[in-house]
Amino acid sequence: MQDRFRGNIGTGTIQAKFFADSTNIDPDSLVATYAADDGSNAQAPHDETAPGGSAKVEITATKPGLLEVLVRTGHDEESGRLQVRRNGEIVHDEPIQGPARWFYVVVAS
Amino acid sequence: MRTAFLAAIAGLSVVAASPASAQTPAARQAECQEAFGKLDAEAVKTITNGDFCRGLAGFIVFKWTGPEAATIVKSVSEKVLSPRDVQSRSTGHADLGGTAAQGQAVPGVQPAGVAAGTIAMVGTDAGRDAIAALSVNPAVLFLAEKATSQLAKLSRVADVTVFVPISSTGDEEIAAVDSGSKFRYFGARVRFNWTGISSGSSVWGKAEQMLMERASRMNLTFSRIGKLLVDTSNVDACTVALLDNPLDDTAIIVACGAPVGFKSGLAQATSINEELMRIRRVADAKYFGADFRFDSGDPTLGAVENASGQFMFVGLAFGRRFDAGNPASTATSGIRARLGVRHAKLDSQPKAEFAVEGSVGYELSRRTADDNVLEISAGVEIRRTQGTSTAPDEFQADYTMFRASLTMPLMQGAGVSLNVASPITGDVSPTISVNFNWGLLLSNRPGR
Repeated sequence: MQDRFRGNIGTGTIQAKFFADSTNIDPDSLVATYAADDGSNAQAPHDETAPGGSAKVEITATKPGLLEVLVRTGHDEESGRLQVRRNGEIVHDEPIQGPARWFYVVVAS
Repeated sequence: MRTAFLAAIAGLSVVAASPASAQTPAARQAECQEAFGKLDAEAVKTITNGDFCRGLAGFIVFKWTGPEAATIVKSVSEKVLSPRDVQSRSTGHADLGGTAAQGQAVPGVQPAGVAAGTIAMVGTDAGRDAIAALSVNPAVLFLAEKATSQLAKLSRVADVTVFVPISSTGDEEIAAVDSGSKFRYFGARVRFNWTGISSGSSVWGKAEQMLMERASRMNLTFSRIGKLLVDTSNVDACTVALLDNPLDDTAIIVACGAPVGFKSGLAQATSINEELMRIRRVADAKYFGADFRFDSGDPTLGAVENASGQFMFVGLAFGRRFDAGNPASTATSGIRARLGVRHAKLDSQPKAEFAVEGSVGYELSRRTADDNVLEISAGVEIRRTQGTSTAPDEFQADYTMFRASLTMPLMQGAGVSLNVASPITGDVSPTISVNFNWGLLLSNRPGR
């Protein structure tokens, strides 16, 4: 698993999008989990996409907390592009291969 | 006992790891930044707001939950929800209810989760025959392909079944009637389970709740670590202890002054999966809905002369399985009942007739695995025609019938059932059938 600590991200509307490569063998899954520091406001949206398509999830992070973005691919050789936006602005946008996790510490903005 | 022991250690370690009250917040942040930098020089650069203690706490949680995350994205133990996790598996049988090859003592209205098929070999007074039935849940088949709340509901609401005999009456010479056509009986069923909408919602709601609980647990751990890093007298030693001993509160207390109480998500994965199974069983343990049937041809499969015609049944069905949510028990019992009106128009008779038809039964089942249920059921079925029937034998106007069925699983989604029916009153043929049932399960992996 490609496991990356991505550091701080500000509060707001956070969108994650996974663009699955058309050469992938089967559909892939995207999930984000978020909760505030005190464990409140937990959210766990998830979405799936077929090869060549995209999956999108959205978190409304109003307080500092932790955010995880997980991509579950059926096969290690499957790839795509993972993009995280905050309030519409791209924060990270990089290719990934196989299952991946991007880990954020949500801070007050 | 363990709590008292940890409290004692915490008390003794106050001197060793006492809060750095004299330290300024800026100095503490500098210590956290230094400790963080030693761990990962690149990661510390991603902390852009100057709160390095909080960033370091996040990094430690990141490290602690790495194996758990790898499990989520790779293995099946605490995976992101798959379609199979939420689909109904209460029935995998195509509905042959109302035919000579009826596969349950009292047919229910819980639909096939996706698609199901049955091939039944049936024996009556007329001889041997075979009937094939195919059920499809059109909403799931064509609309829902992801593990969503929509799938959880749709897989429990309705399906359509069509069936046809796949042989002649076996030995035409011993059949009481020869229609001259092999394709002389077919039927269609629609099962609608009103309860399925709400039970599907509860399955989905619980599944999503479990994912959110995991997020909450992770953040509570994060907050505790953040507080430890601010309060401890030695950030470096505390950080090392935390990273080296995520599950050892004794070591953490000695180095940091207080415990974290972290529990591995891997250990919780099993219980989460079990809980999801339990909720699904409870949701699928009851049904209330409608049963619509249409038959054309000879439903006696040749046992009665001039019994061919068109038949329509509209009824309500109810079922409840008790103790389905008890994880300690694999055995359950339940009741089933149905009541409806049958309209029959024989080809040989000028007038149609109405009859009331119903049945009630009791079932015992044992779960051998999540998808496999061994079931035995028995029931009584009655039909009473309004007024006096003009052709009671041909209409099969009035009877009371005892039915029993034994269903044994063969593998996930497939099984065989042995069914017998014997008249208590009325001149109707006894039947025996062996049904091979197959039910399609959705993917056990997300998105398929």
